[in-house]
Amino acid sequence: MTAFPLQPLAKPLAEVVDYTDLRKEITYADVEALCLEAAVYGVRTVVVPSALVSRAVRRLAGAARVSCPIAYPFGTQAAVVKAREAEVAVASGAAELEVVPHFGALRARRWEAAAAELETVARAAGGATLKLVLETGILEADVLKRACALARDTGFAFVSNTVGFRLVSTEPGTVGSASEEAIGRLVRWAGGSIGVKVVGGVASIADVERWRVAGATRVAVSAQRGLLASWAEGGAR
Amino acid sequence: MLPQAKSATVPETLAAFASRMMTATFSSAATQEEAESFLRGFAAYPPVDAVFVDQPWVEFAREILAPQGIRLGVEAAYPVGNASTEAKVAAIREGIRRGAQEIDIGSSFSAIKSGHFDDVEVDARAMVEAAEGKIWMMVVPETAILTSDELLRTLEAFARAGVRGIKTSSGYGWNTQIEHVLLIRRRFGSTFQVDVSGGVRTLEDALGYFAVGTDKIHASPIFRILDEAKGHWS
Repeated sequence: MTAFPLQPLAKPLAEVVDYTDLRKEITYADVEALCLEAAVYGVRTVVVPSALVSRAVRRLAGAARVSCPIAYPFGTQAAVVKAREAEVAVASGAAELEVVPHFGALRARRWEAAAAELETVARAAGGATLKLVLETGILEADVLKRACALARDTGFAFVSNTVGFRLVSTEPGTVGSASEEAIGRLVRWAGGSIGVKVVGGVASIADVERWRVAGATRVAVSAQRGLLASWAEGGAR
Repeated sequence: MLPQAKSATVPETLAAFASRMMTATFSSAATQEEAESFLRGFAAYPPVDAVFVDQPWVEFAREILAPQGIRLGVEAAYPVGNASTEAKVAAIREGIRRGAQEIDIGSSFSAIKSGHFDDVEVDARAMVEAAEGKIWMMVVPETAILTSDELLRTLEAFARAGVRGIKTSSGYGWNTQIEHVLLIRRRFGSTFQVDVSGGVRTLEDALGYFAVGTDKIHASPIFRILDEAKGHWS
């Protein structure tokens, strides 16, 4: 058993980690622990559900940025509802938002409706860093490519590859994941003008490095695995 | 307009059975065309109670379902629950504005699991105030992630807040247990309309839930179950 490592992560690593807990059973104590870890290890951003934003902001007191998903996990809310969730989250101190679009509109290539929705949310977000959540497993290549352009044009700073939640209630296998090919394509389509966030399956520093090499600028890391402590410990050796 | 908690008995005809079944569009990524073809399928059966659709689709879905007497539902904070109360209230208001007749909303699971039932009550009361008299609201406590004590304390908070309907589970990831319905009925009598979601795959499953006092059932394989019911009552 090694001593609890209290040194921060190496800066390039800490900068890209979105330290995340979106489980339905997340407790207030889990939020406290997540924020404490983020502060100790120098993580740049934590991601919690919108109901817990103000709690995380209070706890962090500026030590890290707080993000929350909007219309998590399915994006089936009307645009005005997403805008309200965004507005309240930002007023509560959220600096970033993970916006889930109406996937049905994207799949059907209803670009006017998709653009109107993103514009409505962006207007309500008051300058917060916006990430557009895509689903590379269910959206066709031309849709993903156009969605990247739409994200850029409506003021989003990132696109991500999946919401990370099962899309069909009875099929656990419908949780999106990250593949080299899918991330590579998002990076290409984002074209350097907006960033790419990887969601799904990050378990090691090597995973983070792999995604950074692939061109990703953010990586979701689950707060459930105690990874930061082991990473900080590894970095100290 | 608003349904009352019924004395839940086992339905004895196909029509009575169908009128206590509900479902949702099969995928959150369905296009409007795919959703429309799904909705048109209900014409081949006696009317079900309600179908849940994406909020942007309420108007077109109503055109298809209202003539059949099928109610339109939307969801919010579903199935994860931990959206801000303001977002839930906004979803309720938008559901009303678009003409949905029911909204099913996740409770603050985070507050429940933290033992902060005062927060559960505040969240529920805000939703009740937004919905009252304008849209029928079912609140989801998500029984499958709760201990019996957490479930009872959550339902006490709901009752204090004026919640009149609960849907036991979101159906994502866990099956609702018969024991939960029995426990709820034993402790709360007819305080709540009690709907079940999750794990109802067959007619036999459904009848089992009705037998223990369930008011309505949300099932994703709805057409398979209705076909089975047609055969059973033919």
